Amino acid sequence: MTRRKQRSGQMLDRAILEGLKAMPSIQDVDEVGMRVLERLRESAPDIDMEPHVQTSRHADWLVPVVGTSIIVLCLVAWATVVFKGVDPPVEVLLKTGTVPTVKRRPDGVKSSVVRLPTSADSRRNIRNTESTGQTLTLADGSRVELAPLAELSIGAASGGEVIYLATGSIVVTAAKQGHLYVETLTCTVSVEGAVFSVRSASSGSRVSVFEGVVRVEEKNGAPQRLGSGQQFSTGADRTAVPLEGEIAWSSNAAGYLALLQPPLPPVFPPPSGPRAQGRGGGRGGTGRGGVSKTIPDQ
Amino acid sequence: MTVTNCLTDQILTEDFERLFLENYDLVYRAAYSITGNPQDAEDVLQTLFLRLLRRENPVQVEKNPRGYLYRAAVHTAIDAVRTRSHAESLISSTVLSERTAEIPEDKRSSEIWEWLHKALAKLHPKEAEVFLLRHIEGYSNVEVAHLLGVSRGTVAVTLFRARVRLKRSIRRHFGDSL
Repeated sequence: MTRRKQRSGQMLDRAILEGLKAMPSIQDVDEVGMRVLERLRESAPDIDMEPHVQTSRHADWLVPVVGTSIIVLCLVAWATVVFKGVDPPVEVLLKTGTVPTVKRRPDGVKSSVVRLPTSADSRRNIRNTESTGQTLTLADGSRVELAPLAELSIGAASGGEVIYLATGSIVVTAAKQGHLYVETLTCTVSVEGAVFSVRSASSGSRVSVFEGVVRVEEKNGAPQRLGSGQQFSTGADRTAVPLEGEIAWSSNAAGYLALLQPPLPPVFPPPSGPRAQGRGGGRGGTGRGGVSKTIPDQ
Repeated sequence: MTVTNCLTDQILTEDFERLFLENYDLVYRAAYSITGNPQDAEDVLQTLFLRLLRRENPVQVEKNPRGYLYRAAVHTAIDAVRTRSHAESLISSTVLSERTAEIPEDKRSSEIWEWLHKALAKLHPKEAEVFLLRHIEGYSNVEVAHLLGVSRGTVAVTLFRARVRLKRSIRRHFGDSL
């Protein structure tokens, strides 16, 4: 092998020598040089200089265009960073055509389902622009049915997820595991494994429970526990509303109502007058939430 | 030397002619070493200076005219050989044997010469540049470094790599006949 390497080195040196021998003589090179120079002299008048000039003009407008583009990109990047924490207005329109998956419910009714991320960063506004109820499935398996024009956003909370209901009505079927919160302008509902509806409006909120137990806390008020068939209202209008009226918009209204247990005696007396009489209402203060037992006609 | 302004009224100026006369031999010999063919080398020479007439690379020429022209010659020659190799694969062996007959009489020398310029064309252009300047043109490492605008170390390393590649190529090409 070493011998072959040595031989290849010798052969390379020989090739260099052969190459030197084969190189054209000075006279030959001069002849070629003069010939080429003559041809260059002849061709010079025919050379169109326009392409060079065009290139120059091209560069003249290209530089400011590229510069402007870079500045615009920088501004966009800066704005993205600065406004990252600000919730944009409605980002997602919940439409049947845009949801990623479609599930068939046990009763055969087709519902649209969108799976949402749960990190705080991913909080985004969702509005149902359809004329019928639309269903979201959260990461923990909870299902949220939005009434037409309902608007909410979803974020992460300690030990679970939180639904910020801006306006409209929703029916929540909370998963057994994990904690789910629903927050409106006037109250917060926390729950584990229950079925309930929440209606939020500028005048107040109303929570109706169909199955399980939920904990409702009015802003600056004491927490309340609601069982199946009970209702809690905040704001000016605290009139008890039949439960079927609360979920009349839902295509699964009958299913939710079927969850209701046989009528139970009222836990708390219905509110009378401007002063609420729910649990905790005795501690005074007007404007407290009212709890009522509202069993639909079945 | 100013090359960018060497043209006025589309006539060859004195500066351009001086640039040509000072460098045409280096350009032609570099092209000839790689193409192994006088006609191809002449084409490279003409193409290169025609490009200058069209001011395609005037800025680079201004800095180091000789180095630029030499490098451009090597690159253009390598391109020419690669294009020709592709074309030759399509033409008959008769034509090829006619071309081979033009160079050295001794069969072995002819074979080595054929191999050398083909091997040079397969080298990386930077390696071919350094190898030719050092071994064919006879420049020292310092002169090569100065001409190409690189350090002496770079020249030495590039030269070493070029020689290693060429030796490998020799072993592959000549095999047992070594």
